Amino acid sequence: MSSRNLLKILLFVVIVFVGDRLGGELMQRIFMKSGFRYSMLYRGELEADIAVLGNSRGLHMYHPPAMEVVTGQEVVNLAFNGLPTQAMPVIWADYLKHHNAPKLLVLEISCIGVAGAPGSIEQLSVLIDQNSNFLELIQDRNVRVGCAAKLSRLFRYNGSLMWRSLLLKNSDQSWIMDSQLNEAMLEQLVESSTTEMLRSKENIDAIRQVIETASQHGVQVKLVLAPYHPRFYERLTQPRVDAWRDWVEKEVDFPVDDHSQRMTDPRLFADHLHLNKQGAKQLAESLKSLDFFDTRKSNSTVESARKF
Amino acid sequence: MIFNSFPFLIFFAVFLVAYWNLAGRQRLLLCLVGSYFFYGWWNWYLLSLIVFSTVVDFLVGLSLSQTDTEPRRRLLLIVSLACNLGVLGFFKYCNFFAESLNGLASQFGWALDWPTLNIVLPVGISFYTFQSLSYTIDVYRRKIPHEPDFVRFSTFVAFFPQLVAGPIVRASEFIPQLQSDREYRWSDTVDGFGQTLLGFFKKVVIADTIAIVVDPMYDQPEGYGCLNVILLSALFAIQIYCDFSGYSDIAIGTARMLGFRLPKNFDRPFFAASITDFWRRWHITLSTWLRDYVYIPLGGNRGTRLATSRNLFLTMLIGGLWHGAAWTYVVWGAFFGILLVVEREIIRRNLIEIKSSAIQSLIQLVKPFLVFAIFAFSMIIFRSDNFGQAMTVLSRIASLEGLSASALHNRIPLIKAMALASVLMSCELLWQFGFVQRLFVKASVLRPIVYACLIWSIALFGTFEGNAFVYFQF
Repeated sequence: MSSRNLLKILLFVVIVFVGDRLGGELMQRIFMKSGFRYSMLYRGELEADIAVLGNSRGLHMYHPPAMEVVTGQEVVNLAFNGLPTQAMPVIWADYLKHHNAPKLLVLEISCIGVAGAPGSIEQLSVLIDQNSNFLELIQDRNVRVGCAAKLSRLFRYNGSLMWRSLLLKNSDQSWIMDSQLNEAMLEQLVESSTTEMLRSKENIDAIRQVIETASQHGVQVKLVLAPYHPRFYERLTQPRVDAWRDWVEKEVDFPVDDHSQRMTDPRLFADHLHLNKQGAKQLAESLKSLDFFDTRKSNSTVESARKF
Repeated sequence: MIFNSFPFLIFFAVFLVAYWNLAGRQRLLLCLVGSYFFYGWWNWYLLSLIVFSTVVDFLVGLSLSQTDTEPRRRLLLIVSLACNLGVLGFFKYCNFFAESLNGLASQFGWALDWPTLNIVLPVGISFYTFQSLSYTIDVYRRKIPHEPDFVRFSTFVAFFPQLVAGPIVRASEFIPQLQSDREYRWSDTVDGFGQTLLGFFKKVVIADTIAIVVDPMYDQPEGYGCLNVILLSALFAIQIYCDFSGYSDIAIGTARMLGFRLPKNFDRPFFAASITDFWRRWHITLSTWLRDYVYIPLGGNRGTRLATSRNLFLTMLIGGLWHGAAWTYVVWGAFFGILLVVEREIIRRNLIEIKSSAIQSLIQLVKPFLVFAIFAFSMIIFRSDNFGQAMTVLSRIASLEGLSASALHNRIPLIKAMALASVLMSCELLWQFGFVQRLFVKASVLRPIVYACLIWSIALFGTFEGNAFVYFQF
């Protein structure tokens, strides 16, 4: 191969590298302009009195518009579909870095009981440019993706979160599933879904970290377990849910408000795990009647939490 | 080893450097050893089947060259056919026939209970069997001379870029390229690299992204509405095109970087103006193989109209069965066989006569969409695991339920898949009208930019789960 051709190859590599960096910068700007919750978080636009954290069950349990109506306070939901527990301390710390501390943090704990779905941590590569801790988390879970995210800045924006942000001009805080499953699909989901409730020390450590950071900032914390579809709850069986909840309380040394059986009307569910819009509204009203949002009450012991 | 995997990228980089630093016999041996390594990475034991086919066809070719007596030549050909098709039949169709016979017998109240075997389907067996067979048939027909060099012949059968999913290369096209060292050309490197990138783009950006939304629909079709099923069926047609033509592009591109020319396998099939035209553009090397070794020997179009129709139908039926050991593939082949026969009759009898040039132009415009719709429809049968699943999918369309956008599942991945598919089809449209080619000639400086765009797109939109190519199973 002639030196002229080698030079062409070198030039091509430079074009690819520079374009990747410029493209990555452009993607970051697009991402940061969107109404997606984490774009808004890093822009510091999610000031609130009550913050919610968790995975998709947390996202569907606490619908900010419904909660704001019943509490008269500002509510922000930082939970997201498949959000891995290990990422929660980072999200929470970054929220506090960019905002005033809220009065209350509601942390939905189903995430402790599930192993991270494939790709759930990797999808957060879109946040690496905001906090390099996400890169470490990704590398711990998937070395190849971590290396690719280091090598290519464009690759960090390869994922559903980027597409979601592209489609969101306005805040996604009001987003929630507003549907019901037909009987056949529900039956299939209930039968095919795992009923395992993981006892992960790694997840417990992450939750402890969230609680610790919250108390350092004077934020009251409530650990909660969101409602399950009654049909799915039958499969989980109550002694097992109770035993798992007790284990979480013991490990974290913090009470858990168990709402797993609070909603019994199947029409209030979008699927076996998630409330729909109507369900979230009814839950908010139900919690209001229990003074759940009263931040003057302390939930510092397991016994006091049992009242719920 | 699959193309869209990290081990392949390492393997090919090392191979490429070693290849251009060797010459003559050493280079040929490297090609053979590299090809066996490529296949053996997946399964060393099943490599023995390729060696078996190679030895049989090499010896048959040699024997054919040493005899002029017709009965003996025919016997040798039968030996080759029996060995190759015997291996193919055993590994690919044995269980299919056993299960079908058991099912048929049970319809009559007989308990046949033929045992099914726990057999691994060797990757690419249909491809290399057809390739190897074409050699003995061509030597038998005295179209090509036999190949006296065993290493060269073995390399022809096992050449790794096209070993597991084509293009199906004829001996007359490829063996002459192995007879002398390929000369290094910068243009081959550039063109080959570009075509390889395009193949990766089609596979990891388009096909695998579409698979994310299509696969769940086939797992649980009951939960999908009419509009959703129609959209996903159209997307699957694009997925399989990108998956397979992407593989062919990588095969042709990598071979080109080694200095070899492989035949074109796809020619923008979604711009076909008829079903016949479609099959001239889709999986070209299989279509021409079936034409030369099945359709023409059956009589082609030399007999009566009925005989021609029968030959067309049987060829497509065999083409369907070649794809897989399932009745869905047989029905899929028969479906296209019938369509080809019907289309031929319509054209022959000039049944649709339109005098208005405006309507004619409109029809010309609509034809590719119609062909695409027929193909996408046929893909429901092709993609389904069984007729029950296919009927459920079709019944979801017929139900006319869920016609609004709100009934669509996985909306964000669906929008991504549709957007990427639209980009590809727009590029193909520009290519169809020669715009891209003219641009490359007039402004060659754009070529590296286009290549860089492909790399950036792969980084930004690719799906990297190492999904195997759909056609591996055939």
